[in-house]
Amino acid sequence: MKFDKPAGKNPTDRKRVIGTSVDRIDGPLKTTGKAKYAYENNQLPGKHAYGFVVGAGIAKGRIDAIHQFHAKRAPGVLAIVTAANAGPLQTGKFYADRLLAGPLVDHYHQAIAIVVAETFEQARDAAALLKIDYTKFEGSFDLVAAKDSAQAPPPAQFGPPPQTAVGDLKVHSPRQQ
Amino acid sequence: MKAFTYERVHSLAEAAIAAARHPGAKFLAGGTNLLDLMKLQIETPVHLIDIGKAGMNTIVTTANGGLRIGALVSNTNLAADLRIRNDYGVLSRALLAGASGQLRNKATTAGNLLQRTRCPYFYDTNQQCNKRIPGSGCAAIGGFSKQLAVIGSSEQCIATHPGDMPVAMRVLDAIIETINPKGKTRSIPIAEFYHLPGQTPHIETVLQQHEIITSVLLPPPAGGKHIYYKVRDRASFAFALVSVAAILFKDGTGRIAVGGVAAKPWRIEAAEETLNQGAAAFSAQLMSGAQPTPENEFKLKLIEQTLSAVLNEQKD
Amino acid sequence: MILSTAVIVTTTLTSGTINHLSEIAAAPGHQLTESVMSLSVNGVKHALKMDTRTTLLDALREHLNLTGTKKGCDHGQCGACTVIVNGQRINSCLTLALQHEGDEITTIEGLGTPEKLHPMQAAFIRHDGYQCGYCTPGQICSAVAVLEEIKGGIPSHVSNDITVTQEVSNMELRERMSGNICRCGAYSNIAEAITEVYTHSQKQ
Repeated sequence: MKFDKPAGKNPTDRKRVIGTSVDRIDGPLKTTGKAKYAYENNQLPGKHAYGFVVGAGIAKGRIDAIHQFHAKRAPGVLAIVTAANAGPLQTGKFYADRLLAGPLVDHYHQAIAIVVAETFEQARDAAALLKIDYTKFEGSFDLVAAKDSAQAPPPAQFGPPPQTAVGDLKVHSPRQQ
Repeated sequence: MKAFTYERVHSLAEAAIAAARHPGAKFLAGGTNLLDLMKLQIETPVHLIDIGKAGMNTIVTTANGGLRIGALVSNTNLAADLRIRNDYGVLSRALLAGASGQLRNKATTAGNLLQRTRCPYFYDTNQQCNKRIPGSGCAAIGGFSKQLAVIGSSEQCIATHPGDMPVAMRVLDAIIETINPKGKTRSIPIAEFYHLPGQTPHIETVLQQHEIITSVLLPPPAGGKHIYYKVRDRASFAFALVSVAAILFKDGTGRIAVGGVAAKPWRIEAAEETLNQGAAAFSAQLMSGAQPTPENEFKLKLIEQTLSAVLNEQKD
Repeated sequence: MILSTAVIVTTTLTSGTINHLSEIAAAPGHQLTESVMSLSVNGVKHALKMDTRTTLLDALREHLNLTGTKKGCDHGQCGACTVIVNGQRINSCLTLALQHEGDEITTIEGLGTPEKLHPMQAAFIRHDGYQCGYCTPGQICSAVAVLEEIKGGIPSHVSNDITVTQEVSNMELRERMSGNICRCGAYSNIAEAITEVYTHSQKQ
């Protein structure tokens, strides 16, 4: 590209579209409640089932049993989905958590069951009827205590290789110089 | 939320009849606390008696110049009432510092008095809580206790009363008026209304079963400078770590109640004689016997410093 | 006499038998835990038969297909469920539909449509007061009600002098809107939109 002539007007100068203040096209929908999110796109109210997620009551450990006797028989309940009947549960390339815990629990309130019923109120009520037996494992929550066991992570799908450096911030921080 | 039957009543008399019919019932007013707890199955009434439209929603000047506040006056309307703003400013300030605009529009005077703790272990039904289930233990002791009690607690429970309005009412010497299903009325000074946890943290007030709060009586205006300071992690829409309701007089005397530190608003009238000795001396008296946890120990210094700022306002 | 009848009924009911029956009635699955009621929403009366546990929010979204009002937290902490009842804003998630028989309920759909926008809706569009738009209906209902609260002389936590009517500053507006949170962080534009409508209303 040679700058041997005056540049002249470009789209930003002409301001027919670029650089103008344009209302977002989704504005009228979002401000009037007409924009549809997720299942709101379903045009038939009352025709869907409702799921209520139950979260783990321990931070780290194992689910020994999920007692479903009462929940299964609660009014309106259609199914109780857990790791036992959900089929294969994998982690994703960029998603480290399994969607349903079981048998191992990775974090507090990790989903361990979804109670599915005809109405939201029935699903929520039935969820409280699940009784879960856990074995708690020791967690590791102290970063400083664990620091010596830290390992360099494996290379990611993209980007530069992991970088590690050990230094003393007090000595090297610019303010100190 | 457990299933329940529902009825709406239009008067106290109807409420009494409904309560007598349903021992497992609870009264529903605004519902901003009760429904929240019902969704988590912490409260499980089998029957709801909706008293939201049963009257009790006026503020009336009494014969001796005080005010009688209906139990169902909304927090917004109470805070905005010109008599409250002019003559009981600490109450207006306290109400405005609480919750959000939407919640204040729905929450009622009586409901605010009766709101339950926000202790995270009370709220999490996976955790041990003697208040929810007597004898099950207290997971808060040794847990995250930053927002919990520093005084008046026990080895069974360190929960706080989270409200702002009751702290102001405590410093105004409010009297809670009730009626029981048999029609018997009584007047309870707010200082005697709340129980400290002791061995029975599940018993929070002196109310008997189905005793209804009908009104709160405020004495004639005391005058003085009315101040409500609320210290919290956010500038709005958050519970107090520590709050101070104060009425200060020009002669250096005053009344102080502290919120966020106990299962009830904390005030010691006898200690108020040391107010003119300054914040440090007074707060040492007020908080004498405090048993904070390592996580909430900071509240003691915070109280002293907040009190210092409050007392300085009088000097302006 | 009605009074003595009530006494007789009460005695019978406390004998134990009727209590047992009312407990069965309250047990999950029995028809007695449904209620028939009428709700007036955006000027239209609807006859509804629903689980007594249905919140106003779920009545609007699930039973009336008015999905403009959103469920964010379902516990009164986010404000996405804000609707206007008898002119006052409330969190519709923390109230039962049954509590509102006889009330006038206005939802975001009742404030305006894309063809006929409410001034607040138009201001939100002009000032880009949204990103994902999920909190937006709650923000707008709340903002409309806030301006009525200011007009009605309701003070706020940040008012210097609560005994007088205040000038509405940016800080006042932010305090009054603190019950509506926006995860996308459109707050500054929301505040500008509300300020524009407020200022315009002051000129009239």
